This record gives sequence, structure tokens and C-alpha cells, in this order.
Amino acid sequence: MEKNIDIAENDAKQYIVVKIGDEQYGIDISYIDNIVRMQKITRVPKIQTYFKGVINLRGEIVPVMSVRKK
Amino acid sequence: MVLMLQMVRDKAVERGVITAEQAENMSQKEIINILFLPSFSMAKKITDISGRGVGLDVVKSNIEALGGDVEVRTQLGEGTTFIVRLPLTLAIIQALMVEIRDEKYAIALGSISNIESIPVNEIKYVQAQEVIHLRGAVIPLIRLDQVLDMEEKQEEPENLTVVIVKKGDSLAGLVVDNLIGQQEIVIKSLGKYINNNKIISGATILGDGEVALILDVNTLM
Repeated sequence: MEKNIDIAENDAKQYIVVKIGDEQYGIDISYIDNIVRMQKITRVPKIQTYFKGVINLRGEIVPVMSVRKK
Repeated sequence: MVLMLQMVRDKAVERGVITAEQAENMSQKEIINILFLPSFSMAKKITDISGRGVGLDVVKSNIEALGGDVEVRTQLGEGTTFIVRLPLTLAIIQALMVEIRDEKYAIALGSISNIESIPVNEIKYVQAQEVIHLRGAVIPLIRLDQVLDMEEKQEEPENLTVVIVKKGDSLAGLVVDNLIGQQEIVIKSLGKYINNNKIISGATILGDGEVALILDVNTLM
């Protein structure tokens, strides 16, 4: 019996569920590197409108995308 | 022991680079490193351009100057692989930091000719394009605030700070609000997702953790 539960747990996919407005979306946890607090975003001129800009994430330049706009 | 390595070792002993005793105790890696020594050559014949033992020495010293390294892997009958490793953030450049409204941008010092303070009333127009006269040259003005999609300034100052940049023989003047100063910056890529007509060639992280964008002068002109 216990074995069956283990298998069931292994088969289940884990998702991070996010809320955008009233809608909820799930993101496969294997795609997620980490979750950080909002920080100052540097605007980048002339980029696609769904990009907010870039941030400094521990010394790396990381683009920030607005899922709402995309 | 691979034959090629033996040949290198024998040659090194013959040339007096190492003693026969040293040669006996050398590892494969150490023998390969002999190839990179200055003035060591395997060539049997010396010509005007070849066989002087310069080539690989230059390769190694230049790659190391950039912070990389060379590795050699060799297998008898299969060939030799030269692996060149270079750091990703190769580019540390001298840049001029400028401020436009409340945003900071970097301009590579190599493309800057000089910096001028130009009274607004000296701006002329050629085919609706703003230009300035400077020591006999007519230089087009580029309003960075407009190019970078910023809000128009409420009131224009009496003098404009203009960074004169060069691309080959042609000059252009970039109008900025403030000069911050010269500093060494590490160029970091914006990544492949961002696509902005190449105006921004990359970004850098300032001492306080803030991100400043690097302007690509060649695309602006």
C-alpha cells in the first residue's frame, strides 16, 4: 500500500501557481530557477513592449518580462 | 608513450631546453608545454617566416593576456586537438558615464572624440536636422532623450552638454544632461530575448548594484 503512494507521488508533477489579475496560472516547477523579490528595474529603450527591462540578479543581468502584457 | 611526445622530448633535449634526466621524469602535459616555449621549434628547416619558434608562443601569451588558456590533447594516429578557452566577459572597457534624465548610460571612451558645452542659440538646421559648427566642421546633433524614448524636457537649458563621438571619419554630437565621469566597466550581455535595434550593446553593473546600459555609438550614427 505504501509503495503505491510513493509511485503516485513520483508521477505527480509539481507546479508553482501564480495569480495574474483574477486568473491563475501554473508553471512547471522544473522550469523555475528561483523566485526573487521585486527590485529596481532598469528600463531598456526600444525593446519589445512585454519586457519591463533588466535587473541585477546577484551580478547577472536578467531581463524581466511582464507575463500580463505577453 | 605517444611517438609525437617522444619526438618533442628528444628535440628539447637536443636543443638543450631540458636535460636528458629531466626528460625522463616529465609528464605528458609538461612535454606538451615545451611546444609553447619561446624559440622552441620542431621545424627541420628554418625559412624567413617559419621555424623560429614564435608562433605557438605568441598564441599562448596572447590568449593568457585575455585571461584564457590553451590545452593540447594528442593521440597517436588520431591527431591533435588544441582547445582554446576564453572568458565570456572578455570585454572590460573604459567608458564615460553620462546621465540623461534619471537614467545612466555608458559610452565607450574609444569612440569619443571630445566633449563640448554648446549654447542653444548656436544650433543651426540643415534639412530639419540639428547641427552645430565646431572648429570648421558641421556636426549633426543626436538628442539622446528622443532616441531613448524619454519624456521631453520642460525647459531647455542655455547650454547643452554634447559628447562628440566618432565613427571612422564622421562625427556626431550626442546631447546628454550630465556627465558622471570615466570608469572601467565590464560588458555584460542583455541576453538573446531582448531585441532593441542594437542601440544598446550591453549592460554593466555599477558599484552600487545599479544597472547601466551601454550605448552602441556605431548604430546611433
